[in-house]
Amino acid sequence: MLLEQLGAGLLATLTPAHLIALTAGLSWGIIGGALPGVSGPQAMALLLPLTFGMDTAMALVLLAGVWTGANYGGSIPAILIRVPGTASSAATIVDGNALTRQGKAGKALGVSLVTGAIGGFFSIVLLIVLIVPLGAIVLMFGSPEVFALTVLGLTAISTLSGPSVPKGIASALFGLLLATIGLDQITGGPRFTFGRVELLSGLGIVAVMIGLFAVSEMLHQIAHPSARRVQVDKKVNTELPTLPELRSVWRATMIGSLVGMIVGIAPGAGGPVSSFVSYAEARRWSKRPEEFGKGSLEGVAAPETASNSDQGGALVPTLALGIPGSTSAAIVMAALILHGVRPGPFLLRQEADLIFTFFGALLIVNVLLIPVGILMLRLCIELVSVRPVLLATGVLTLAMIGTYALNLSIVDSAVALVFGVIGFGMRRYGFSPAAAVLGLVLGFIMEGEFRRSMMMSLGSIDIFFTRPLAGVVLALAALVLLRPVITRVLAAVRSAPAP
Amino acid sequence: MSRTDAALGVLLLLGAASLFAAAMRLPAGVSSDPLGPRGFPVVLAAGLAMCGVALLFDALFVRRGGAGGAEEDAGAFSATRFGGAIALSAAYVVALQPAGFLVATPFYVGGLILLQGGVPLGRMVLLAIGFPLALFALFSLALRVSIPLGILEDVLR
Repeated sequence: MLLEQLGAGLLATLTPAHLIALTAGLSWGIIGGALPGVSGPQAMALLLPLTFGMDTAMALVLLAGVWTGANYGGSIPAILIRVPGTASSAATIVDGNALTRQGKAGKALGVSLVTGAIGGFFSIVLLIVLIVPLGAIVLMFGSPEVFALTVLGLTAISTLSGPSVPKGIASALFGLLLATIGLDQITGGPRFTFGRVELLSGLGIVAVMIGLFAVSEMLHQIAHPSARRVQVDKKVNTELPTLPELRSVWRATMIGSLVGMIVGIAPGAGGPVSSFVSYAEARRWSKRPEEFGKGSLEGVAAPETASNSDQGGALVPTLALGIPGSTSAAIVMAALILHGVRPGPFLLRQEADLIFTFFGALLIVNVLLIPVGILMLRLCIELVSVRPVLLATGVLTLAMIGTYALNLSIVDSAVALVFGVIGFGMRRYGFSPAAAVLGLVLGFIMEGEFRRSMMMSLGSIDIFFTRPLAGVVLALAALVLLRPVITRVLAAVRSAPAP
Repeated sequence: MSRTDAALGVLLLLGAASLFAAAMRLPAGVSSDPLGPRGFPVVLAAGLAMCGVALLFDALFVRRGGAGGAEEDAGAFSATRFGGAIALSAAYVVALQPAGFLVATPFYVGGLILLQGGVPLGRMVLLAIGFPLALFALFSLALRVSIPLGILEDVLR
């Protein structure tokens, strides 16, 4: 059954239209990832309005391409100019740029490309293997359990999104508040619409996302002028690793694949966490740890594999439980919402064909990554050198007209601009736009399941503690929330002078 | 003591109070829906208040220096460029439908480039005309997404 569904998904992806969309998404993702200041989630969010006229399967195929491409694209400036194109490529700088200074930039890019593709492919295979048994477990979930999972997901993301836990949680609560704007999902009455007809259907998730991610970043770049002019060696070409070189990095590649997958499963702990953890573990298990930091191919393979493998991990809670495992996964959920598909724990059962087409796209795109990555390098090198003034102008214009195109309404463009300013302020004062977006995406599910739980229990909150699974998940959420406090107390106890 | 975080803590408390007041104007729960439209926003207000208290505590008794988690290496802030970008974007949003994409966007692109500076005038004009045309081709012709034509509607339809 699983193989049949996967076969159907692969065949659906191999149609000419879907292959073109996949390649276009992959190319855009590589470009977006390579441009400093444009991250993977931003590249995905900017493309969301363009998917509105597409069918849902094609939209997901396109986003699969962008997501995968951005992971590799971010490593291009990291390797060539010590600037991470995406947060998860920061760990690649150490050995990647060291190789560039030794005249081996092409080799570093080649290892990054091939091991990244291996990590991505491996994680999707593991995702497909895990998702079906997880889907069976989900059948045991009722409203209290789903609510508890949303609390766990948001708590994890809020506490990991920055050094200030209260600010992370406040950001998530802000996102949840935004989700309450519009018609109440049970009574149908208006809430927080201030009498505006435009707000009756709520705030457009895509417009808010583009505002908080893309517009705020571009406002930041405009407001903080930089005299940086980047010089890149334009004669660099990708050199694919030889078989002996691939054998020499196989341990680092396996470590990166596993670490990326495991870390990716935990909501909020993806991207840079998986890359750095993978780097540290690869050095620990390497036969040549002294080479790390001086241009080790393993030092490139480990973080690159992890940042690609994290994709499959992040999709496990997203598709099995309806809890986005990363910001990029949240954008995939937003795309589903945009196309009228309500994500949640039962998505895999209700939309199996769609999800397996998505799996097929994710498998194929990791194969396409290698040739497209080689072809896109020249263009990316030119774009890495693009002046910040042109980048900011281009992205802002695209954001404004892209959000207009969602509903042919300037209200969406205005929302994007307003939330761009809000996002700028959030970053400036240490709050987390990513946590706010996740709150917005999860808000509908969270409130709905909370209210349904209270209906079941006739208003008693005991239902969350008398149902074992919900109780355990909520206890886990409390532990995650209190972890910084516990860590501080333990550190104080350890450093206290002995009596 | 971190003054910024203390101020943010107070702001959060004020925000929580406003949210609570606004939520209490919503319908209360009934027997079939104990929480009602009011319940979840009230819970959010309580959460925000707790975050405000935690932030105040952190600011008064724990943290030294600037806002926790704030960007410290952002470099010099230009209020003119920031305000100018917002004003230009707001004007663009207002003008987009009546003037049309092909008329409003060149001014928007040109204005943003002029605001940031460093691009020769000739290249600026080229980009201000060329980039909107390229976007128009992408949206209207390739992706078949409707773009406002505004005053050029009669000419281009």
